[in-house]
Amino acid sequence: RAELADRDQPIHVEAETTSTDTRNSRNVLQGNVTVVQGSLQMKADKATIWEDKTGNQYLEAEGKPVQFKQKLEGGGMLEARSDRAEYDGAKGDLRLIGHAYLKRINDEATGERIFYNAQTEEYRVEGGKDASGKPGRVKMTIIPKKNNPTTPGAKP
Amino acid sequence: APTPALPIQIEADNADGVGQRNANASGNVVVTQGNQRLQADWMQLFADTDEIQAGDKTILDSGPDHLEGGKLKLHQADRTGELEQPVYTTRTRRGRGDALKLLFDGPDRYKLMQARYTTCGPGNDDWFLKAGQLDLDYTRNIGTARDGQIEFKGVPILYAPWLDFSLDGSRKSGLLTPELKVGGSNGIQLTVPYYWNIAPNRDATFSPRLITNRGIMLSNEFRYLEPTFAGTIEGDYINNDRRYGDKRWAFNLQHKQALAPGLTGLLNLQSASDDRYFADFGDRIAVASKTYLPREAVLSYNQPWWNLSGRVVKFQTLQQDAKNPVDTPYAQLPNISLNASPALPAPFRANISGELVAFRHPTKQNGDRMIFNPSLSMPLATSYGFITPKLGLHSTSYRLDASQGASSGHQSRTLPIFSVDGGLFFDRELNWFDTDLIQSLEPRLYYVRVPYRDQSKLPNFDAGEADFNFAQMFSENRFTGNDRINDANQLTVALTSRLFETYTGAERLRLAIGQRFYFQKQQVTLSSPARKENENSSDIIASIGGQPLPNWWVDSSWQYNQRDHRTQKTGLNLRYQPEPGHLLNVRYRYDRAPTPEVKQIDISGQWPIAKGWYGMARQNYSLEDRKALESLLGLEYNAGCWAFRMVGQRFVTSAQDAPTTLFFQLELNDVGRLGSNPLETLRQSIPGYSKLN
Amino acid sequence: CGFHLRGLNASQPLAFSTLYLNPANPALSDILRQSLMLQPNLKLAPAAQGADAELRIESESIEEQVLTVNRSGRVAEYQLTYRTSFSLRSGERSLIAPSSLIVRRDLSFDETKVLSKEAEKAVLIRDMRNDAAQQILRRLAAVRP
Repeated sequence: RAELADRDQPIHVEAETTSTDTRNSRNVLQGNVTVVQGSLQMKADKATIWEDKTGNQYLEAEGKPVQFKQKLEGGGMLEARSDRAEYDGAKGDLRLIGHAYLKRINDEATGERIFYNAQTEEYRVEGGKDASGKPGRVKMTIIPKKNNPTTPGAKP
Repeated sequence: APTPALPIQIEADNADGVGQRNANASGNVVVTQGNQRLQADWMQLFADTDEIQAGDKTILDSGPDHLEGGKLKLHQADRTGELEQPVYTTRTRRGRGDALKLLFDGPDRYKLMQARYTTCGPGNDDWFLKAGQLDLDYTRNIGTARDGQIEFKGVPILYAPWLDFSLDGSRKSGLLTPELKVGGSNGIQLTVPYYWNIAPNRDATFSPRLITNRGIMLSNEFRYLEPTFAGTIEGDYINNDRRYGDKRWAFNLQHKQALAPGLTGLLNLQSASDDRYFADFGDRIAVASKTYLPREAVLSYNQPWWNLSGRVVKFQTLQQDAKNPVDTPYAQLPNISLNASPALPAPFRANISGELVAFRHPTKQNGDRMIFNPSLSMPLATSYGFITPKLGLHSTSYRLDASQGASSGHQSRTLPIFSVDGGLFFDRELNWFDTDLIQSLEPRLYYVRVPYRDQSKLPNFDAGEADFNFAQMFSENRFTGNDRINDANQLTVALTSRLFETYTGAERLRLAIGQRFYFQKQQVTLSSPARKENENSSDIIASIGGQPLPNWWVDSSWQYNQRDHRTQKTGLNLRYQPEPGHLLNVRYRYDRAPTPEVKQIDISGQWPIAKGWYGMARQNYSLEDRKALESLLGLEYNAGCWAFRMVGQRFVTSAQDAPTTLFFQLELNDVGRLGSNPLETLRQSIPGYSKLN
Repeated sequence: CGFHLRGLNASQPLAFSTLYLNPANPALSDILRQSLMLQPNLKLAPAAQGADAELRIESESIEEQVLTVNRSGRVAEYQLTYRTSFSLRSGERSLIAPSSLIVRRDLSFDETKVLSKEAEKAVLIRDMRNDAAQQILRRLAAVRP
C-alpha cells in the first residue's frame, strides 16, 4: 500500500521552466522535471499538475522514460517507468502508457500499458499491439512468500 | 517438505491481479517455475492458497514428465491437484498414455482414472494396459493398476483385478501373468504368481502352480534387506502329489547378518521331502546340480591381520539314480578354522593357519582332525622379476572312533613343506592391427620339496585329486583337502606371454605353456595309481585366451601326454559377437579321463533372420555317444516395446530319458510377461545371449 | 627379438606416489595390498584424504554355471566366472574410469567328492583373485600422470 501519509505531504517541484495555465489552473513544467511528495519521487521531461475543487491532485507526465519511486507502507519500494504517466489522486489510479515497467517489492511486470491502484493494490498489464499489429507480450515475475500459504494482514 | 518458493515467471497477452494475493493472465500464457513449464489459454494464481488454475487447453512439463490436457488445478507446495483428459508421456521413464482424469498425488506420484498405459513410442499402439485406476509412483518406480486389462493389438488378452509393475524396468514385476509350461512328466503346468511389494526393502511372491498330472503346489519366496541383515526364504509345498501319492515340499533359507563390527553370521539351510523332488519339479539346471542339499551355519570374525570362523555343515543326499547310489559326504560338526598373518619386518611374511574339525558320518568312520600349519615366506620383487622362498610346517593329528574294520585311536602326520617361486618379466613394444601393444614374456619356475610320510592309515574325510591345470601346477599339494599331502621333489616350468594395450594396460590375449618335472617317484596316492617309475614329467598344458580381435573371443586349453603322444584333454571355445543379438559360439571338449570319454561339440547362437526377427539355436552333440545332449531352437520377434518368444528345448535328464519343453512368451516391456519364461534357459544354453527389448 | 627386462629402460614411475586402497572388498584388497607393498616407489596411504590417488574395488562377484553335461544328464564340469569392477580416482579426476574385469576357470565336478571339490573351488577362486589383482596392477602401471 502506498504511503498514505504521502497524500497530505507538501509537493516540492523543480523544473527548468514552469508556466501556469490560469484558465483551468494547471501548472505546466518542462525540462528534467522532478516532483517530490513525501516518499514519492517522480522524474520526467514534461509534467502537468492540477487540483480539483476538493483538493485531489492530478498529474500527467511524459519522459524518456517517466520514473516513479515510492516507499510502501509495509516496507519495500514501488518503482515504475513508462513513456507517459497519468495519476488520478481521487481514485488513487496510476496509468503507465508505453513500454511500461512496474516493480512492487520483488514482483515485476512489463507491458505496453500498466494500470495500478495504490489503495486497492489492483493492477492490470496489457500487451497492446506492437508496430506490426501483432499482440504485444506481458511479462511478470512473482516471488511467492516463503512457504506461508496465506499472506498475513493483506486487507483489500 | 513443500518445494522452496522459486520465482514464478509469467508471460501472456494480458495480465492483472491484486497485490501479492492473486494474479491472472490470458492469451497464450506461459508460466515457468523451477523445472516446470505450463502453457495454457488462461491462468489464475492464488498466492494465499498457493494454487494455480489454468484452462481450457493446458500443457505441463515438469521434470521428465509431459502432460497435456484440459482444465488444470495444482497446489504447487505439496504437488496435489488434478488435470482433465490428460495425455501423458514421461520422456526418460519410457511410459505414456491417457486417461479421463489425472490426480497429482504428491511429488512424482500420479493417480489416473480410466487410464491407458504403454511403453510403446508415440504412434505405436500395439498394446495398452487399461485400468479403472492407475497409480504411477515414480518415487518407488512402481505402477499399480486396479481393475486392469491388457489389450494386445486391440484384443483383450488378460484381465487382472490388481497388478503392479515396474516403471523403470528395474524392479521385479509383480504382474499376475500366468506362466505356462508344457512337456515333461508333469503334463501342463500353470503358475499364477502374485507379487506383494511389502516395503521398499521387503517383498514376497506367492505362486500357486496347477500341475495337471500331480495337483496344486504352492511355492513362495520372501526377501528382506535390513541395514544389518538380509536374506531370502523359499518354500514349496504340494499337499497330495497324485503321481507320488504323498505330500512333498522343499525349503531354502539364505540369511547373512552383521552381528557386530567384524563379526558376521550366515545361514544356508536347504532341504527337500524326497530324493526325486528336483527331478520332478526343478528345471533343467536344478535336475543336473541338486544332489546334495547343505544345512550350514557359519560365524566368522574378521580382523585386519587374522580371522576366525566356526562352521557347522551337514548334507541331505538325494539319491537321483537308484542303480548307482551316491555316498553322503561327511558332516562337519563343527569346523573351526583360524587364519592369521602376523606382521614381520620386511621382507618376511608369516602365515599361521589352524583347523579343528569333527567329521561325522552315518556309516563311515567318525573322527576329529586338528591341523596346525605355520609358514614363513620371503617375497622379493622388482619391476623385472620376483622370487619367493617359503617354508611351512604342516602337522595334523586325528582322534578316530572305532568303526567296522578300523579300530579307534590316534594318528598324526607332521611334515615340512619347502617351495621357491620365481619369475622374470620381459617386454617388447609392437603394433598389431594398428593398435600399440606391449607383449610380455614371463618365464616362471616353481620348486616344491615335501618329504614322504606314510598316510595309508590316515582316514579320508575331505581329500580328492585336483584337476591338473595351471592353478594346480603352482600349488604345493596335488590333493585337495587336508587328509593327503603329496610327497614332492618337483619343478614346474611355465612360460606366459601376454598382449597388453600400451595406454590402458588392459590384457588383450594370453598364451601360456607349462610342464612339471619330477625328481623322485610318487609314493602318496589316493584314488588313481602312482606315476610309473620312469615317468619323470607331467603332461604339457597350453592355453590361449582373450580377445585377439575386436569382436572375437577365444578361450582354449590343451593337455598333451608326451609319453603316449596323445591329447589327454582339450577345450576350445570360440565366440564371435559383433553386436548384441549377433552371436555365434563354437565349443569343442575332449577328455580321455572319464569312462566313457567326453567328446562333445557345442554350437549355439543368436542371429537376426528378418526385420525384427531373431533365431536362436543350440546343438550340444556328444560325438562319443552319437547323440544330442541338448538341442534348442527358438524364434523371437522384437517390436521395440514388446517381444514374442517361442523356444523348444530337448535335453538329457538320464541315460534314456530326454524330455522336450516348449516355451511361449509375450513380453510387454516393463509391464510384464505372459506365458512361460525361457530367458533363464536361453542365458544358460546360449552364453552371450542378449535380451534386446 | 626385442625383448628387454621390464621397467629397466623406460623407467616410467607410477603416476602417483601414495595410494589409498579402499577396503570395500577385503578379499581382493588384501591381495592387492601385499603386491603394492612390494612396489619400491609407492606408499600405501591410511586414508583417502592426502593420498595422491584412491583405488576403489567397486564390486566382486563369483558365478557358477554348468559347462559340460555327461550323457546321462549329470554335470561333468562347472565354469567359475569371477567378475570385479574397479576405478582409480585422484580427487575429482578419474584416472581409470570404472571398468570391469572377468576371469574364468573350469572345475570338473564329481558327485562322490563334494567336500574336496568345495576345497578345490576355493583354490580356484583364490587363483582367479590373484589373476585379477595382477591385471589391476598392470592397469595401474599404465596410468600416465
